[in-house]
Amino acid sequence: MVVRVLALCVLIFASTVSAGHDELLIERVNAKFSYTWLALDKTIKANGYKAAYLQRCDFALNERHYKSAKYRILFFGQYDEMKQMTHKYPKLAPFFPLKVTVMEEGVHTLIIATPPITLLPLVETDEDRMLIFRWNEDMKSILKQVKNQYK
Amino acid sequence: MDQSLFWSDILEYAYKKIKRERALKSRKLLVILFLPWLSFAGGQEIYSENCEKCHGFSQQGSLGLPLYRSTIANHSDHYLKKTIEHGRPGRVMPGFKLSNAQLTKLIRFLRSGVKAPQYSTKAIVGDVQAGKYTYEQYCLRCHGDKLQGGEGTGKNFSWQKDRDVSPPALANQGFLHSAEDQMIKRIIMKGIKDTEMMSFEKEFNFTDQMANDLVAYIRSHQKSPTFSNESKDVEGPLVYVYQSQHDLTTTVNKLRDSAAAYNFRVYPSRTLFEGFENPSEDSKKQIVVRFCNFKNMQKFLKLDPRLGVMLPCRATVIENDQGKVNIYLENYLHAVKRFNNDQISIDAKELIESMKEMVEEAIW
Repeated sequence: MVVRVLALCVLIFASTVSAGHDELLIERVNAKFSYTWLALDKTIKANGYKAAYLQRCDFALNERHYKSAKYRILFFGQYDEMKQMTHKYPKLAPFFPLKVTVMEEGVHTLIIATPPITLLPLVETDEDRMLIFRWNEDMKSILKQVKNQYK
Repeated sequence: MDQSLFWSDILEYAYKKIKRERALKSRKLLVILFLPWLSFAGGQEIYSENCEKCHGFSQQGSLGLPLYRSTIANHSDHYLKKTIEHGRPGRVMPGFKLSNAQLTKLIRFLRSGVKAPQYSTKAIVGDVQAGKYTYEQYCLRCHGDKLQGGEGTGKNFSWQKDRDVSPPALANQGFLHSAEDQMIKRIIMKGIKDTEMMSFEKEFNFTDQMANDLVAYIRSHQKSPTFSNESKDVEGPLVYVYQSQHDLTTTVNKLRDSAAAYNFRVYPSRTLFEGFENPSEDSKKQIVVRFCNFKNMQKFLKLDPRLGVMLPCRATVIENDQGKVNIYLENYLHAVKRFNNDQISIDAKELIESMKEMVEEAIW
């Protein structure tokens, strides 16, 4: 129990110090959209998550003077964990599945995500908090891994 | 004395001297070649970790303003340090907590060898009213009537707008607590190379007095002698929960109708975990109603292209084990707080209010 609480404290401290509270998670990838998209898909799988579906937001943007036609959102997660958490805390449902926004900017691509750590106020036990921290760390790591593939 | 020995000694001495000088020269050359690398070491890593995502790989600008050497050349170390520390509250750029050593390395990297200008910290005295008049005549068109700067993020990458770069917000407390009066004056008079900020001395024959008045007017927007960035508390819970009087299917249908009535384009509904599983009885009790107002989306994305992390608008309908149907709405005000953009917060409040009305109408 003591170890668990200590681990939780360390995680809270590490997350707040390194991520700067709950700011957006962003990485700039030195690759075009299609390469980044592929890398993201592969990295998500390699980290034990599953991509569920994508949402295209770009179809209406070009008509509205948005230069880039590449703007998509990838929904992903670990089904069993999310299902269990939704059952326990239905208020988490609007935030599931987790998502990463991918947008092209010239020859680079930005990958952006809301940090799962923001869901902490919605859960009650240390175990569930640990799970959210793990999602948060995994999310950060996935974005970093995608970026590092095109350094 | 042997004459030939004498000459060979001289030659040997000369040869050794030349060799020594050459070695010294090549050592000097090595130092010169590696000096930039030595002085930038560490700075690039700090830039890459903290700044690159917004300012770009080569400081060309993106969500953040471009950090051209010609721009940085106008800024004192004090200004850069304070800018990084305070950020620009309500204007995308967040404040960073870096150590003094990290700040020094980062600034050295940004300067890339360009000498830091020195500005006196002495306040400039001028006529605020006269400065206001000058501001309205020459500066308002770019920097806004309330000195609020241009709309949207730093560099305009995706939108076809009049300007490539969003003009800075001169009334921003982060700016006012970083910039020295003398720096503001210099930029007014000399302009910034390679940007739209022209030299007003050259183009419009600004006098010293005009610049002083203008600086006094800009400075009059500073609210307090010390900088404080108190984050405002977000109104409302993280999630709004509504209990529906209807069964699941009726609730979903009513929500869809209500969304259409509120000018949202309604997409086909999904089960919450579609794409993960084969539809089971359980999953049919967790439905996501998805909708979008394109005009709103366009407005949001113009202000900050990262807003996609909130898309699409949705209401999640869940029938629990007791057969009760609840609707869950994310309160976007919490999410938009992360964008550090006052205009987005105002627009998001309108959006969430209309979504709440939409749900209330559906369950009524």
